[in-house]
Amino acid sequence: MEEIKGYSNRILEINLTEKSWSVSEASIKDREMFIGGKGLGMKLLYDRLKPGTDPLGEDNILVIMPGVVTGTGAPCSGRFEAISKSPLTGIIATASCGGPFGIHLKTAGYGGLVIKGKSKEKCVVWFDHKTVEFRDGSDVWGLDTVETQEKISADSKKEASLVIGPAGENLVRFSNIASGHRFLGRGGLGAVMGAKNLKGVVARGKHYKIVPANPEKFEKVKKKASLFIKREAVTLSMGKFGTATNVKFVNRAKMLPVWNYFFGEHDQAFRISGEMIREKHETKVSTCKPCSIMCGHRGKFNGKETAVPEYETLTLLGSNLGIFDREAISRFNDICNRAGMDTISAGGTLAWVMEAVEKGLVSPDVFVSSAGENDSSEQQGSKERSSKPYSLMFGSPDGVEDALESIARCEGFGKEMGLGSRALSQKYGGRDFAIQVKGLEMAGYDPRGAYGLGLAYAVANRGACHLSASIMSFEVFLGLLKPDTARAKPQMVKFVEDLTCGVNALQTCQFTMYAYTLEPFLTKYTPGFILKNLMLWLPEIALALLDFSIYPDFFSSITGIKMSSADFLKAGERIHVLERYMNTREGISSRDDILPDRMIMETISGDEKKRVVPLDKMIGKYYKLRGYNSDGIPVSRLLDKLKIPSEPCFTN
Amino acid sequence: MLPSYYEFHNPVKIMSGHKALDNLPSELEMLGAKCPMVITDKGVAGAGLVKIFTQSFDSSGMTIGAIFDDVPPDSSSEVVEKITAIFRKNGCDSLIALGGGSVIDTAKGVNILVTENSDDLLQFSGAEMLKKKMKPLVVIPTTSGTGSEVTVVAVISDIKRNLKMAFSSTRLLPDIALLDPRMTLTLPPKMTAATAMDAMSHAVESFINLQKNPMSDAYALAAIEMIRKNVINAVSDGNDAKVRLAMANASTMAGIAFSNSMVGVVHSLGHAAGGICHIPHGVAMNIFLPFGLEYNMSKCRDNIGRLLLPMAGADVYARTPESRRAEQMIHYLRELRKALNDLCGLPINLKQAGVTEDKLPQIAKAAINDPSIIMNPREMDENDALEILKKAFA
Repeated sequence: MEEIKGYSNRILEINLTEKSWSVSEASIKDREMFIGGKGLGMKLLYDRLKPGTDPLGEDNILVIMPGVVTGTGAPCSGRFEAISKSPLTGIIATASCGGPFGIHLKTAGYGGLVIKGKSKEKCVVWFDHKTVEFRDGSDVWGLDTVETQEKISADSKKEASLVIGPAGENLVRFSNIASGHRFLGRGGLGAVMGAKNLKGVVARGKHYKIVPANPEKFEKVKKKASLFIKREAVTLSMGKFGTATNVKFVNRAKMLPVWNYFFGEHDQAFRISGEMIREKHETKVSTCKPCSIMCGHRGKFNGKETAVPEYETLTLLGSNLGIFDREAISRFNDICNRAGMDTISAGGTLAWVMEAVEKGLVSPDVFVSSAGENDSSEQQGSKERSSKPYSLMFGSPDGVEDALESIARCEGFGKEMGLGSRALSQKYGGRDFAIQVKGLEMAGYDPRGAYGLGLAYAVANRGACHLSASIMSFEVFLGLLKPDTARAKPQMVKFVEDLTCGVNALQTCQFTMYAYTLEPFLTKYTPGFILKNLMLWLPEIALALLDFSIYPDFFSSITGIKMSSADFLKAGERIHVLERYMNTREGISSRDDILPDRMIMETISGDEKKRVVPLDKMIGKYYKLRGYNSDGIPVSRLLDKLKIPSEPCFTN
Repeated sequence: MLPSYYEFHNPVKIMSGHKALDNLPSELEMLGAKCPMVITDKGVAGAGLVKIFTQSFDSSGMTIGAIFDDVPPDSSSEVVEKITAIFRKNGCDSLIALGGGSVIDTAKGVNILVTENSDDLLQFSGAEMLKKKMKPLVVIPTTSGTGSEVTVVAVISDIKRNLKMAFSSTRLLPDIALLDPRMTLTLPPKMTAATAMDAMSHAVESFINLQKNPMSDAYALAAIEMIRKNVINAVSDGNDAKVRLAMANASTMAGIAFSNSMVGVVHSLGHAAGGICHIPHGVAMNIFLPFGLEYNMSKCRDNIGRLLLPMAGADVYARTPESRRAEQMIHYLRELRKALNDLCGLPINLKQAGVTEDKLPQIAKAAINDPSIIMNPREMDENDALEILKKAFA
């Protein structure tokens, strides 16, 4: 087997309009400055995508990028990133996935994949290390994500695919892309593929072996990283109970979304906790590969083995709809996974619809689904679909499956629901309770319980995303940062954003951040109260003490390119600011860095502290720290400092 | 709607608090009692509750005349007679029942015999057969469910004659119901859940049946809300005294409610299933309650809908359209059952409770002959009962 030392800068560029392909080269300079994964992918997109491009048009571009650590055997190194312009938000969307496609892309010899144009016919693209084939996709069009992968990846051991389900085909704005049983979840990237008539991409990898440039150093870093992961408490809890381990912390902090973020806790929350799921559903590990954290699980629901719903699904398609029935939530999860839909946006949208019906903004008569052929007992033998009214109401699982199916099929009111909560609220009113930022529905943590998260949601590049700066980990899970204060939050958000961008560029799992930052000596052995006070009163010092050197050490040992912790953080900052800059060219400014009215004007029902997110107290300072002007625009001095060219060097 | 006529009667003094037991000796004195007899069971004694109880008498100067701690799970006339003999032998003048439903019914039976100076309970069975003023009776429940501390009834088996004797008289009402959370802290999770759902069934049925009245409604609504707010915590953390005290209060309120308005089809089915398949009463109530409400829906939809308020809270009630409140009430009830099932395995269907399908016709037959069906809003025949049982089976 041939070897790739660390990384490949060969970028496979596919043009669907012309059914042609070529290989371009990413520069070493870009590799150093943008690392890989999300960073280098962002730079590739910056150099290719013109502002104002229609996300569902021929000119939109989908970039798929493995990271530097992808395929090296480092802990949690099976991940890859996708970057494109989102049909849901109209700005840049990024998503990370632990499916097998990334490793196959990299071991086929490519450091990235750029998909351009639009196929006239429904198609599937297949490639290996030396060629690309454009195959007919009409026979798999309409199949779900599981069936499609089975059908287009003939040799599942040597091939891996990226596919969309019916939701992506039907341009549901929050449709996703599947690889194995993992997803490029957010921002509607499935619809980008659907609009290109691209049902799937198959990578036949395993031609190259990825070897680190400095194997000895790599092994040393890997050993340390593995040890940290094996020791850190939150990480261990996720391995045991999955991401649903968060339920108990979040419910206790009164920031569990319930009834479209009207309540912040529920006495039945324990039913969807990781502990209860483990006890009742015979769970076993089913993770990204390779993985050392093991947060992904499968379990027995409704009499069959299936994916255990993640925390976000349990909250957005569960508690936020007033539903705590695990079996019902599992059914919703399966529908979304097979149809290829983001469970967060699907749940957030349904919650808005339920509230809009309550408030009389949407008529309950609009909910009519077409029952499937087998459902129609009155029309046995008929292939006609019959109409079936359903209802959507908080606290009731009835109707949710019909609604999800109708969204995926783009039928009836499902067509409108498939546009997301922002579009719905623009048409029907009710913007105050459309729980989204920049068009992206909010994740399952109510920021009124953790103000730093409120700031993070407001300024996150892709919208109300909890992964841009998962600061609630410090505020809630670890108890290291007082949650209900504006103090120190701008500094913390900026730092975590930059570090996260670095991690997503390296492309390893964000959950490694617990182990890699908390287990090093200084953090681990500094008494908690000192750490807490430092973070609150002297955040700059606290952050300077935080040791995250494992990340740059991985980069250096794999690539042979020297990188310090400061360089790594700077690269993260560069990536974050580039994404922001690209968004501002699409019209984003401080006017969009807002939170839904519910978060800044209404308190959580029953909250004795009457908390709302004091966004105004934090955002100015954040802009200043970032080097944005008061409109939230990165100024040229900042771009120069970060060596971001203010005009891209277009390459087509 | 206000009934054209109704009666409501509850003279029982409620003593509720974290140290309520400490006030008992002086309360007994005020009742003229000098030498009380304590009736309890092995479970209560084994859990150390008798010791806590007797400690409250230590500095009072009052002597406990006798303690009987061997009441079986089903009270019988033999036990009542045995205790009566001890009562008389020790010159006792009052009774303290420390336990669950069986202990309380036994104490009520003993009170009949010592008051009437008789040795034959059977002659007093039936409605309002007691004419004399009873001896002081204090009830300290160690479960939160039966409500017997505030009810006018007692059921005692006559094993020799193979019959169940039912007694109903306002004279059977205890003088004091004492609610001290220390007495329920050791109740295991599953029994906590089952007894809580017994109380829930009392409150819910009292609110929908034919003899309901504004007074019983008030108790029922308050009881349901208190159960809903506390039952999950009581089951998941039995050591929380605040929660235990709330559950004890809720159970007593539910008891007052149903004692004044009676119960319905849920209890008919529960009594029948309990008699034939020996399902614990609380378990049966938990299983049948949503099915009973669905059966009655056509007759009392509005009343069931009103129960959504205590069952789910004001926000949920206000945000649920009136036309859907009854269904949502039953849905929330079912969700509560699932939560309890998750927490402690409390059965939610007959199959889980160990009932076999061939027993259903027999249960149906017994259910329609159970007296509690009389006040149910909808009449039930054997076929109806069988249909409900089939739905509740699995």
